[in-house]
Amino acid sequence: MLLFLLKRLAALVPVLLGVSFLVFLMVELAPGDVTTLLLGPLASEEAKATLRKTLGLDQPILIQYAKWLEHVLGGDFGVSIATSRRVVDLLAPRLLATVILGGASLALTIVFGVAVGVITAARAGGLVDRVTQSVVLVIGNLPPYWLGLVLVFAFSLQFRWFPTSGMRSVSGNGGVTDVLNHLVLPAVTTAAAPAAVVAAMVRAAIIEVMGLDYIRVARAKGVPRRTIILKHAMRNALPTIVTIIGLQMGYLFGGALFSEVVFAWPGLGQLLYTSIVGRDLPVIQASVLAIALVFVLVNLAIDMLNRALDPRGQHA
Amino acid sequence: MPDPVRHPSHLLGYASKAWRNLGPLVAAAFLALVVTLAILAPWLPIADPLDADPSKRIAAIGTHDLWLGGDNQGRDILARLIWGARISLAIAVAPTLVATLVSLFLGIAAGYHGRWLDHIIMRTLDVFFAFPLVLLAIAIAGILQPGVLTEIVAITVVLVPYVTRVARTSAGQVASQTYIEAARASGASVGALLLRYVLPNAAPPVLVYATTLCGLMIVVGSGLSFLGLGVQPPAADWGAMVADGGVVLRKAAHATLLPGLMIVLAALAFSTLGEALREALDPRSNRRRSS
Repeated sequence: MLLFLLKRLAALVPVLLGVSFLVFLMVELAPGDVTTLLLGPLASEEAKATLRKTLGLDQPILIQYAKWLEHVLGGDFGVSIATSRRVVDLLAPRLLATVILGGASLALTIVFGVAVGVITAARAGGLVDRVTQSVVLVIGNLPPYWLGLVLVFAFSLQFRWFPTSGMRSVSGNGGVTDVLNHLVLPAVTTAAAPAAVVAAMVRAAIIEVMGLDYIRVARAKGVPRRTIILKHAMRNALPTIVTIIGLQMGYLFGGALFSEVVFAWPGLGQLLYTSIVGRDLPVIQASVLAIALVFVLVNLAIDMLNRALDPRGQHA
Repeated sequence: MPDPVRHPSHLLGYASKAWRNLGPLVAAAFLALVVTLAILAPWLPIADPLDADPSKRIAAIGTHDLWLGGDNQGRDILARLIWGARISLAIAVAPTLVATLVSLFLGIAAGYHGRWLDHIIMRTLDVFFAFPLVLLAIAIAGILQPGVLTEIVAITVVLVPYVTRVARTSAGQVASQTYIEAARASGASVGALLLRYVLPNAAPPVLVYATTLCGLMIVVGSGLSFLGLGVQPPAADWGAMVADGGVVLRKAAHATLLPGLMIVLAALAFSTLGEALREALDPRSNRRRSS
């Protein structure tokens, strides 16, 4: 297991180098001149050239990248153009908010996706299954930014059950219940589409396993259907289910980005959005890099989990 | 699968079988209608989508001669939906087409040639897979100047890795077939081999995948517009209309609900079509279904 982890970590190094280079390049290729951005449109060519030299912008791109990477690895993402604060100080509190939203959404995705998948698989072909299948198909195609607004309209404006935006209320105590109250709608918005896809795929996975010989044997022995599905079939379908959930992580991250903007949830996605609107290049760079890093680590965790659940692959 | 005779809900079984045949037809008809309306927009007897009339601000559905009501600036929502369809469909379909062409090229290069070329292409794509798709699209669109072209570029770039992976698998399978070997043995040039045998045989799964992706790209593309990274006001597309409507959500929910509904329906239609194509092209799934 440890060897596997080390191997995976080693394989990540070139990928992460590529990711950082791409993020670096993205900002290099951005239209507009950094020196104009910093000195203003009235700056003389001479002043711009001096600044370019001090910033090292006159050097070859690979040298610039190496220098930038050295700073990034030391936790130095530069200074925000809009707020003049250190980017890393902006990033840290946002990370926590994103992890809270992401974690809650992931939990919803797993619970609802797997539960609906198992229930529909158990009644495959029945009325419940057919109706659920259609609903799942529609939910799987809902745009998160629109679903967010629909939920706000229904549950915040009409019923006034949940707040429309933010993470803590101004008047509230800012405690756990307050945050949870703010968390419900964004988490549901983020989790809806991935949960629907997970439900459909888990259903297919369980149905597939239910056709295997050992299930027939269990059935012939008279094991109750519920036990067969929950114990026998689930155990064998579990690695597949973990893989299915892993495949939805990209979708879930994307949904969270939109949710954070719609609900003004103070996470990395919202930071990215405000920095794009304000053309705050260092912050854009840092937040993209941070989100990609979290994504890579989550995928690694899923790989490790799968490894632990499915001993068959251990010698490969 | 439960057999229809034994199962009490066998009638539903027939209904669902009919739907399985009807669903793709309905989806295709819906898309054809939307596309036709979008193309004919300049000649249709509808209001100017940019014409703002303050007296019709957030008009309800069916009032002031507005079939689908007015938006937050008093513009005709129906006209904006029809004109918006042009951009909303274009930013989903155009990138998918371009990405499919690029990916077929890359995928065949990787899958057919193999060896070092495969290695270079696939390891480069690994870097792109390290980003959530939406993040990369937002980042690229956010760095460039906002606009429709930017949206198309951003979505094309994020699609290429996914489509290329499918194209490479497909080309790899085709490359190991005996008819390729036979063609090579009979002296076909590499160019002829790739164009006449590999491309036509490797393309179908890629095209099916691309059709399904169109659905998701409607959602992502409109999402970029929703964030203000795409089409610029006052021009309309469905995503931008959802964002515009969000401002008056309390008083005129239909300004948000209707364009969002169009996105959902279009995405559903593309998914349904893609799924139907996949089943039609995959003999394995046919056999499993009829057993």
